[in-house]
Amino acid sequence: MTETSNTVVAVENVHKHYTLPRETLWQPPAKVHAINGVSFAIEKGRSFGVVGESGCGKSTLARCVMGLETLTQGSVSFRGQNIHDQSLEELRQSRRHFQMVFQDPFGSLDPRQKVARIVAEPIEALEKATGDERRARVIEVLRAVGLKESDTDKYPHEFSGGQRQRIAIARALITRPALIVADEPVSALDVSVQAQVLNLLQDLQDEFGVTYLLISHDLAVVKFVCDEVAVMNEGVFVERGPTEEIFANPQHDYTKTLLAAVPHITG
Amino acid sequence: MTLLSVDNLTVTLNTVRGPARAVRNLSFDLQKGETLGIVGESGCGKSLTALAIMGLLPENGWADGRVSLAGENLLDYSEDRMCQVRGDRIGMVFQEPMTSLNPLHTVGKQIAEAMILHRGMNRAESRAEVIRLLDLVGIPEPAKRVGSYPHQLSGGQRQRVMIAMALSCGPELLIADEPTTALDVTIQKQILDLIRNLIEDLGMAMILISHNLGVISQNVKDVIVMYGGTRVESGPTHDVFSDLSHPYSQGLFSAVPQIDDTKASRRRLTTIPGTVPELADLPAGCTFQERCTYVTDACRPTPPPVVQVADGHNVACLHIDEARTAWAAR
Amino acid sequence: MEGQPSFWRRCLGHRSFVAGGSLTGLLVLTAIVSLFWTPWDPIKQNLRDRFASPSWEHLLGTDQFGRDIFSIIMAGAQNSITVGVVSVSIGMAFGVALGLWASAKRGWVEELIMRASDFMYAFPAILLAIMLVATLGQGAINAIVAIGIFSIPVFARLTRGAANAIWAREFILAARAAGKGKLRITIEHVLPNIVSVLVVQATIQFALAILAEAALSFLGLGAQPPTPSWGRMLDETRSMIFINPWLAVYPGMAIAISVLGLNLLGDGLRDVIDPRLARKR
Repeated sequence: MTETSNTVVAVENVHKHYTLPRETLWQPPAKVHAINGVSFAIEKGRSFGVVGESGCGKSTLARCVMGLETLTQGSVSFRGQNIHDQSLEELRQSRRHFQMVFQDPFGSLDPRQKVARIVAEPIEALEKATGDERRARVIEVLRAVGLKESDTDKYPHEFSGGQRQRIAIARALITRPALIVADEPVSALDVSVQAQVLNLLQDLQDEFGVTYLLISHDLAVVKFVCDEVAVMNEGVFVERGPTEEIFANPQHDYTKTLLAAVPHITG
Repeated sequence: MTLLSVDNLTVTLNTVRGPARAVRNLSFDLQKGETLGIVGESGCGKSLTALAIMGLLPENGWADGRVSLAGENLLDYSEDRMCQVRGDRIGMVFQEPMTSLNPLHTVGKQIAEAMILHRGMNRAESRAEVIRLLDLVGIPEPAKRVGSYPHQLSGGQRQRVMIAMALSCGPELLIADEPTTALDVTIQKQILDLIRNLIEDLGMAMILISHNLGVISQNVKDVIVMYGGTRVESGPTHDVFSDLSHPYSQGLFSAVPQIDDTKASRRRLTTIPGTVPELADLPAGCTFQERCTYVTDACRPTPPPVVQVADGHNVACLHIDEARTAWAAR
Repeated sequence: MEGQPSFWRRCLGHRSFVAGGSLTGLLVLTAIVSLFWTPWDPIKQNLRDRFASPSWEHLLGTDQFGRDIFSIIMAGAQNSITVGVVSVSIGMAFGVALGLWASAKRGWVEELIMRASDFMYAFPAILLAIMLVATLGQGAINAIVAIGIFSIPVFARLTRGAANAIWAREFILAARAAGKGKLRITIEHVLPNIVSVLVVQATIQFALAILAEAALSFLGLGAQPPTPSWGRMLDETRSMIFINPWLAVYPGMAIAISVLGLNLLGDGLRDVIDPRLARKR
């Protein structure tokens, strides 16, 4: 894996283990080996997908890349800078360059805040901007995701699932991050709404040159959005490569099983 | 022989904004041993249809019409009589196995419940039957698992337990409401294969409800596509999917990213403009009118007539020809 | 999005809320009115008119010093309200702050705060209040402080539990991912989402505070004469039960009605707020 100046994020031999609470007093507590040695790099403007079933570690990987979890071993470098080497304050500041979209459109927005405040949160936390500037940027980014200026004064519960996910994407976009990590961004949405959001993700990449790390259990979604895909199982990448190749010519047994299990629409 | 005959079923819910029809004049027949799929997005009324058949509608809902099981209208049954039907003649499998199973009872006890209730078995007799059922649904070491609690099993295994529960009294009809949506794709395949095989072996009829077109396509003989509580397209699955004729069905199909799509993977997905309206806001005429590209004034006042486009393949739309032409040309 | 009647609509449709709200409102109104006017001066003695029976002049009669009981009851409401408001405020100010801190920091800070709360909880509340007053001295102010102090662990524990549930939610993770620090997250996200729970508890604590003050005054440790106090009235009338049992009933009823009203209000609030939380998915 070569790192060029175009590399947005480089993940190097990351391990992440959790210790579970003790079941009994006289046995050591059990450990969960969530990630067992994962390495990859994403170039600017590309989309990298991680696909796998529940429990494979992909969501944990997303949180590790975002610096929301500590690593047991290995490193995550963002634009050449190891994010865990930085002080907490430096890390907080560098967050404006990488943002996250979560799976649950209902849970990822504070039900007590208006949309304007929710979307402006990253700027509020990380940049100095006047109230007017903030408002202008909020409106700009809401328009980019297909919502209206009048939506700024509403609360999350006034929107549908698909619209809330757009709000979440707007929030992720507002600081013009170089990287957006999307953890199952469309899994909780209806089919037709899913399509709208996927199209939106494509459009935003074309317009703003965002780099994506997309986590999903849905192979078809990953195939649609991503240039490169990694198949994850039990904390490791069992196979990795350009999307077309992986789907046309899977090498690893697990990948083959996964592909074979997807129900096709015959007819 | 017609096992289940649903005739003009209408389910009305009391919402905050007044009564709203969640299912409108739905009619279909199901023969003994046949499989039917109901496909649609959330809010289309597919789950409520299943609940109406089972007599399990929520407190703020009621059903009108006829649901005939072997000749008798289930909607007329008292709660006591319906209790006799549920579990015994109709079995149901739900979406979330973790919340559908009581975490405080062993799986053996829960499977045996229906048998003790409907077949009058005692605990000892039912135990042997439970072990047989667990084996039938593919749980390894069934004798040991009888005493397991739901949290000790994996998601796939819990769903197998749910299936065992639904089948325990040998019902004539199995209703499966999104049985695999909460499961991983490899487990999903196993569970669907299991259900399909069991249905065939036991000669049961099945209604499979899903929003996943692939799941429906591979597991049922006939399909009904629902939108806004109405049936928009129906017929033999293979015929319908190879010849989608309703604008909504077509839109649904286009909106799903296909895994075996051989065209360039960066093609845009065609989306259905707009969103599903609130129940109380559904229009009187065609429920799809606000989002349809072929809509004309004729669509608005009354529901469109049902037109037969091929043997058994019916579509409720005034603009079938336009839709079919556009679809064939894509 | 499923339409719901507004918060106030549901409140007004809820029996407990309406009943409790009315009684509490009556209590507050009485206290406010008595600041400006009572039928008679509750403090001035009029020994010629002792133990008068209820009449149009003296709605509830007079006490052993000839004072109009109705006026004393009204004025006593001031004391009860003051105690309630101030002690609950003390309890909330410190308790909520400690609870939020414990929840945000976790680890040994949380342990320490929770164990300290448990320690205070172990004492029966009245005993604690008595101990505090015995240390600090008698009087209304000290009684209020004592009651405020024993309210702190209640709010600390409640806040920490509710806050923990909020910290686990995804929008908090989103705020962290956006670069917000823990203090800002606590104030901007956690606190607004637990306010409803705290308000319900506040009404309950208010009722408890009134009871506690009554108990302290009954023991002579609360408001000192001549400040009207329902609890002290109970004490004073105890020795006169054989002369005129009704004298003890009036303050007792005043306390009972106030506490009932506050509890009903708290129940109503909880019912109105909880289903909203449950239905929020």
